[in-house]
Amino acid sequence: MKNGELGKALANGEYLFREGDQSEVMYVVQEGKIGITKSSDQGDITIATINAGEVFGEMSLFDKMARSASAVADGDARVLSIDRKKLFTTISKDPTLAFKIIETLSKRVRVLDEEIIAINKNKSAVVQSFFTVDQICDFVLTTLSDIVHADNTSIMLADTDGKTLSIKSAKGLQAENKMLFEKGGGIAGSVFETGRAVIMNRAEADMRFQPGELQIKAILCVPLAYRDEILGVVNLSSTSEDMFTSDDLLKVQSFASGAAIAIQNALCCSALMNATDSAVQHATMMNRG
Amino acid sequence: MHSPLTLEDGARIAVVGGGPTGTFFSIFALKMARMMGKEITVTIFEPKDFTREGPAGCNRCGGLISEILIQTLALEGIVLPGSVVQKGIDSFMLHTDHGSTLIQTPSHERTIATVYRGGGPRGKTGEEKESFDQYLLDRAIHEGALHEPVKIDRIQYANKQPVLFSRNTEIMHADLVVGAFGLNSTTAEVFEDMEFGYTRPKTTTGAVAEFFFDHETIATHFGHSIHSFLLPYKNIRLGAIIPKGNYVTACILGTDIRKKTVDDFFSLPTVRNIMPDRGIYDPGCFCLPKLNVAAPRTAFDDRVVVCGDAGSTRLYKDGLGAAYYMGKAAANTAILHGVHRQAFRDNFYTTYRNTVVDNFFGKYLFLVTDIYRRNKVLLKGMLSVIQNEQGRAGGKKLMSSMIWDMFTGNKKFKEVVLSAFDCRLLLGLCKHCITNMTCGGNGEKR
Repeated sequence: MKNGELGKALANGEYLFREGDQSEVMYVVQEGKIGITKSSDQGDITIATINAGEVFGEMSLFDKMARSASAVADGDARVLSIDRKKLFTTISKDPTLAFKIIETLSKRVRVLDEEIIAINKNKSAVVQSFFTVDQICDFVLTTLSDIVHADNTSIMLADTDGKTLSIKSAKGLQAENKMLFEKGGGIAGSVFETGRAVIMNRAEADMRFQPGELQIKAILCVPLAYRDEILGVVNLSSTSEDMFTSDDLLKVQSFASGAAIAIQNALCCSALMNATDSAVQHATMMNRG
Repeated sequence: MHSPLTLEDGARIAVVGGGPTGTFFSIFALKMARMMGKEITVTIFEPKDFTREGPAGCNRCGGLISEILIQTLALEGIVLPGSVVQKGIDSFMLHTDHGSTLIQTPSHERTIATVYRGGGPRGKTGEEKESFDQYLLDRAIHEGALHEPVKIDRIQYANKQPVLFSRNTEIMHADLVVGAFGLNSTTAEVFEDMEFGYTRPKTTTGAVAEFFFDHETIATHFGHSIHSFLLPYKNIRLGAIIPKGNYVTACILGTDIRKKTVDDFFSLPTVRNIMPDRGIYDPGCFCLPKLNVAAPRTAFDDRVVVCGDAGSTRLYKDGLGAAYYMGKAAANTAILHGVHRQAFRDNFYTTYRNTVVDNFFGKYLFLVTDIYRRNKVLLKGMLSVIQNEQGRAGGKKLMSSMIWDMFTGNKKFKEVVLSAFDCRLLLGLCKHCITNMTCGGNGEKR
């Protein structure tokens, strides 16, 4: 910590507080960035990044509940703490001081509103507008390329035996449509087996990575899960390192949950249509007979 | 229907003085006007270049920003950057002839900032740092204020509206003039000549001196602590050494303060004990600033208000905090309530008077401090209580908090006085005084 620095110094990755902690302190970021993360089955997900000059951790002061998320330094950072007693005493003397907190909360509500609208819009579009698996896969990949930057995107679906994955739809520089993954094999096979999303910004370092013709450096792979069944995976890759962020993971996960419902519906619909066709065919033959 | 003395779209405010009071006023006036949907122009008249080294670019004070002001500014969205903060302070060292004691911040954070008001000491050596006053001026400009490096030397009324002049040239017709000048400038005369009843405040003289040391020496000898001295010498009521980058600033309060007082202070054995070597210290930069000790009775009239050091400020401590409160109170009054005398009386004057009243408690506190510094038994008792409090991990640290709040300007003097009337604190003090009684003796030296 240098001479001119105020507050508390945090090293990269150091936690300031964790989800569930009791606290009576809010913070102002003096320098650097603080990631706000929530734990999930698929590991910690970053739900916000707080930049210098912004306040955070104020929710526990107002609702007196445990921390709703964890705060972790994203790179070296410094924070200044303001305890409940001092904050409320200061605000009671000058209520205009609450403007900054109200402004921060308003911004957050606005961002959340926009995210909810975008997610719902995409989910309803994918669930309601398409009837075939191919149509759904094309729509998902087109939409994903608008919201997450990746060189290649693909959707792999489980084959009928449930042991292998094959590419159903792909977009990108050189889409490798013919690749096949066994359950547990490669990154996609691993996600297919475990049902856990993977974000990998230096793919070569991972033992599961199977190099292909493309010089893939970063991978984001999310399962297409419907209830307890894994239908396949959404795969995004890039030829550059450090391409994907936790925000990207969150966006793809939100979108994949809707896509999985639509794909399952399309598969059921397709099976129903096949069954109907075969029943009609059978009935026709019976009549002729 | 609007009163004719309210600020409407197109209103022009002249701020005479670009120190913290003037810039805080400008920042909050512009913010508040924007929130109210008013379009106003704020022009800051400040001829001083705050980037210059030495007294020419400096508004002459110890340059300490209290914990509460740092936090309040952060809530306002004004987060002091590392380029402005010379050193983050996390503790306070009290030195007496009978020992020293360290008081840590409860949060163990660096919660106090030391800054240079100008471009640093004359002939500054070492790392480049930004001036605090220049930083605030830049913030005000960022908010939309205009800066004119012009010295206003006359203000007169034309059709009941103030007109500002510089070297007999008419500069501006203003809807409001804000006097935010320091006591070390001659601008007070300009406002006295406006004949609305303003007279410059009563002052006393302090001493501020800067001494160069290398970073390692400062880290070893001063750390991240303010060093305060309560010593039983007639002319030196209070001394403090504040570390800043590769300088330390010595601030001295007392009677008959001259340059020799600084030499006398550094020749005192208790002070010499904490200094890096036993040589003679020659300040790289030195000034004898005037300090406000009694606010003027009248500080506003129709379309004019005087705030900050030129009006009502905190006694000896937290002048920058007072600049914030006064500047903001004047800005809120002007934008929300109008610029007529009654609006200032009903709103701004509440903050102004509170500071005046609080300074009575401040005078009482400094009187009590004077008694302590001259009385060995009380001083040793107080030291024992603080050492005892600092030695234990938990529990309330009443004496430590009181001394911290008083010397750092973290709380109002009234709150500090009231906290002193705590039975546990007084009983603890009595107990330690009785224990130390055998040491006995008191009296003032020299």
